[in-house]
Amino acid sequence: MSFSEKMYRFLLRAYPRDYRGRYAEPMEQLFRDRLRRVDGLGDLAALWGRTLADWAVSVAARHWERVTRHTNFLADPARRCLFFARSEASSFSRREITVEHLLLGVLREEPSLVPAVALEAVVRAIEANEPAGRRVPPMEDLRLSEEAIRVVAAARGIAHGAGREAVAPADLAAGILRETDTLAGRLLRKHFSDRA
Amino acid sequence: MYSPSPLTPAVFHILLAIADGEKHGYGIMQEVSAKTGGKVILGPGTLYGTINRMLEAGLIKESGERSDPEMNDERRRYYQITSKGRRAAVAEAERLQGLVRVARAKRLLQRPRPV
Repeated sequence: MSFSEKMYRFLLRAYPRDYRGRYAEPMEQLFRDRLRRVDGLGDLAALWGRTLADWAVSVAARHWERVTRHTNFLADPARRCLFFARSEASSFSRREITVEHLLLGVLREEPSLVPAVALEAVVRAIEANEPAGRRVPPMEDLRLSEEAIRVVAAARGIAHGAGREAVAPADLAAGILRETDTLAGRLLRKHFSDRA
Repeated sequence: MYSPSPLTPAVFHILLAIADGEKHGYGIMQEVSAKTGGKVILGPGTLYGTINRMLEAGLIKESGERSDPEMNDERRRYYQITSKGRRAAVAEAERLQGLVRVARAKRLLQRPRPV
């Protein structure tokens, strides 16, 4: 194996694991095919220039696709809920966005979904349940927890059932309500039963 | 019915490359490069990222893995266009044809000479 092939194989490690498992082999093969047709140092430098540009753009794109796979049908307000949820998860040093962070995100976008008193109680209850205290959230990509993915899918189903393409923050809240085993689901349910 | 939303250039190039028969990744890359006079060269990252999205969207499908007699003995994955992919390519070609018609009407392009 040539140095270029070894180098390209190393670069492939930057792609998401599941994507790599599926495409690393044919990508290496394609790079090898192009390498075989290289004639001289100038050609090799040009191939590496194009390859590095392609690598930088596509690595970023594959990671972004992975993050947005479950959320790319969300309308702007619901997307902001996710953005706030990610920020909440980061502020608690979490590695994934849970249903509780999702609820905090929904309430930051649409505080009118619950009365002000209940809002404070919900935030306090969730904060008390977090293992770490708050910190300034860094900008980082976090995945959704399995429960949070279910919430987003349920919200999508609710929006579709109402004849809407776009998911609204209220749909996300309704999705959270269905997660009865989570703190967020219980807190929302308590608020709605109190109000009733 | 396929919704004729514009396809990305990479998706359309790949659909065109396999419209007349299945090809493996390197074959697709060569065809795209040849048909665009070397102006579009799909690198491995762009090519397989686009192929991945097209497989998920049902525009193409894998049609097996075997070696190419014109190349070395390595086994290669082949891709072929689906009926949905063909409808998408036709819709995109018609959309572009409509734009070219407008460009001609605005005298931005010369009318093709009769052969």
